Amino acid sequence: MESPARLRSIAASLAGITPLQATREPSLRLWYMEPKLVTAQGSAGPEGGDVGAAVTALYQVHAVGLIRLAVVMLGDRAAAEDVVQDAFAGLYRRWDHLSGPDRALGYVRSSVLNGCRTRLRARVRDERLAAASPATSAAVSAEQAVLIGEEHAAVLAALRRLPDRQREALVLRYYLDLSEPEIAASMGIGRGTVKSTTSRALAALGRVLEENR
Amino acid sequence: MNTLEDRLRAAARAAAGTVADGTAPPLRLPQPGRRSGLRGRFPWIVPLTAAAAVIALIAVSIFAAHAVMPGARRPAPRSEPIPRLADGLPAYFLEDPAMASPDGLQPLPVNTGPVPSQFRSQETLQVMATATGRVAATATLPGYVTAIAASRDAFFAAVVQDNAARFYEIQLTAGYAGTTVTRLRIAPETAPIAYLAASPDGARLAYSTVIMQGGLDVAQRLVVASTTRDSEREWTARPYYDNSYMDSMGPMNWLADGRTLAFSWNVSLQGNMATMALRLLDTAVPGSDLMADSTESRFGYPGFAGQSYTTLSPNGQVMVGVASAYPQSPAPQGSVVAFSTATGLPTVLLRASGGDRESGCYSPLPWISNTGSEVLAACYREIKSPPSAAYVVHVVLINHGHVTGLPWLDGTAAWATAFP
Repeated sequence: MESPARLRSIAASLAGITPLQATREPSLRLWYMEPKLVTAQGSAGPEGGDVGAAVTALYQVHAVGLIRLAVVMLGDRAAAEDVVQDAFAGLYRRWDHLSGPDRALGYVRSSVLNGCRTRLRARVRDERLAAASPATSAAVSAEQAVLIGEEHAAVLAALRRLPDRQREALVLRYYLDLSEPEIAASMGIGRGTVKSTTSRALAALGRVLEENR
Repeated sequence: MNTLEDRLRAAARAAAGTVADGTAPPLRLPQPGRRSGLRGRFPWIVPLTAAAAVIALIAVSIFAAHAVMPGARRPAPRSEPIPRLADGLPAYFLEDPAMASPDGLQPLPVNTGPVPSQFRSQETLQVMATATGRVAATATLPGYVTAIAASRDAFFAAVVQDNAARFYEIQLTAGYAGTTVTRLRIAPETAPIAYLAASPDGARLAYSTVIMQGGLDVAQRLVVASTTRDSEREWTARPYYDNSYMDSMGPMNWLADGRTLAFSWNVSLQGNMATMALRLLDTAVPGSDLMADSTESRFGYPGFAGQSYTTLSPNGQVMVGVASAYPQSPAPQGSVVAFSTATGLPTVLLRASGGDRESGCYSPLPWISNTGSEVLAACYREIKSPPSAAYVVHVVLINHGHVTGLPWLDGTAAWATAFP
């Protein structure tokens, strides 16, 4: 039997956040630090015609980190840039609907992840419709293999075959090094769900890699 | 040899490394004057329309549930209902400590994967006293527990043995100090079980599975099985990827009528805005197509368009969830918000605000009362800002908007729990 004190101890250890790794991915760290960063820079809360300037300022700070994230998800630099552009354009169009300026980066981040989902789904759909000529994915794979090596390209190709949530949980955990509570907060799901999703995703990734050997 | 996690880290960083600093293209914004049209001038139109549609769908579904089988009788309860505390909380709940191991990764919760060696022969669940946070009783299951659920009077578990899940009922004995475990006559399930839900009277179990081909989830499947007789129905939704795309099925709960099942469903094709829909399935109506046979609140309510699961109160009158980071959200991300299905009006039950208050809460919510006026939530509070962020997680009861901490339950916040 576990005592309440023991239970709280376990909970405290689970709740601990590992420091994000600033030296490795500073821009992605900023990606996660959204609300405070935006507020601190004073780039939000524009009136009248300053929306374009505010969105552009946000883009200048976060675009590269978000493009990197989208490249990991999509494996296609051009598509990644498009997704990020679309996300910021959406932010610009919907700025008036933001209930607070600190929502801006959270909104963009969600849009990028959603945009990646849509792109990947469209890609899978297109490949299934044109099963006889999977030229697009082959081209992407070849390009990636040249840029990052075949081993890495194979892992990422397998990653992109996973269901959305599994793929995103793995990227948040193993690329951005977010802890479980952070992932839970980012995805809006419980920590138990994060754990199960991550576990299942790793298992599925292993299976896909094994099949592709 | 590098672990799979190491390989994944290296691959992701290699891919990200192909994007050099300062190489983002110039931002192309839409033409001025096109920032918002009708929706910009009348931002309430879409939410109002969506709310009206949702209300209509829910009303029709609940009406249909009562109209199709008015004379259906439920089996008599097999034991006394689990008592309630003064604030409405169930006096006991079931938890599975093994689902959250301190090393950060849960044992694989699927039938097809390797079962952790320590659970191959048995696993022990704990019945917790809600008022004290103490273990009231334990139940040892003959295998690896992959999902748990609760009815008004009993608990249930799906247990993996020999690569198939079998289903067990856990009854509390007199005095709530012990348990009896009984295997149910439900056919073993070989597909991975994602979620399990027991009807209020314990007469039926619903569980969702994924159908996998080539390592990919290709279809969703829902099974509803009787716990008292050999009766089983199932619904499927496939293919996984197509124009009527569907993502993974989320948590589900039964409504008080014992036949309507509410479940979360992630849908896309909203431009860049994926939505988490709440769907309702009348399990007594013939059919096997999960999408065609269930009604959906596809466009949801403002602020619930993200990845947050929503829960419909058992009486069908209140939808509760955790707000996402979307522009039309009625409260900051992480806030707990309830929507009346009659009026569509939101009520912020707990506003995430940071500082010395809650920074946000997790979804799904572990427990919601019949009317939705009482909600149990696991919330987090930021005690150290990024980059070395730190949070404490604790359990709170939200009773008609009044928030009370239940610190003796904090330890269960990361565990899988099942509340009656």
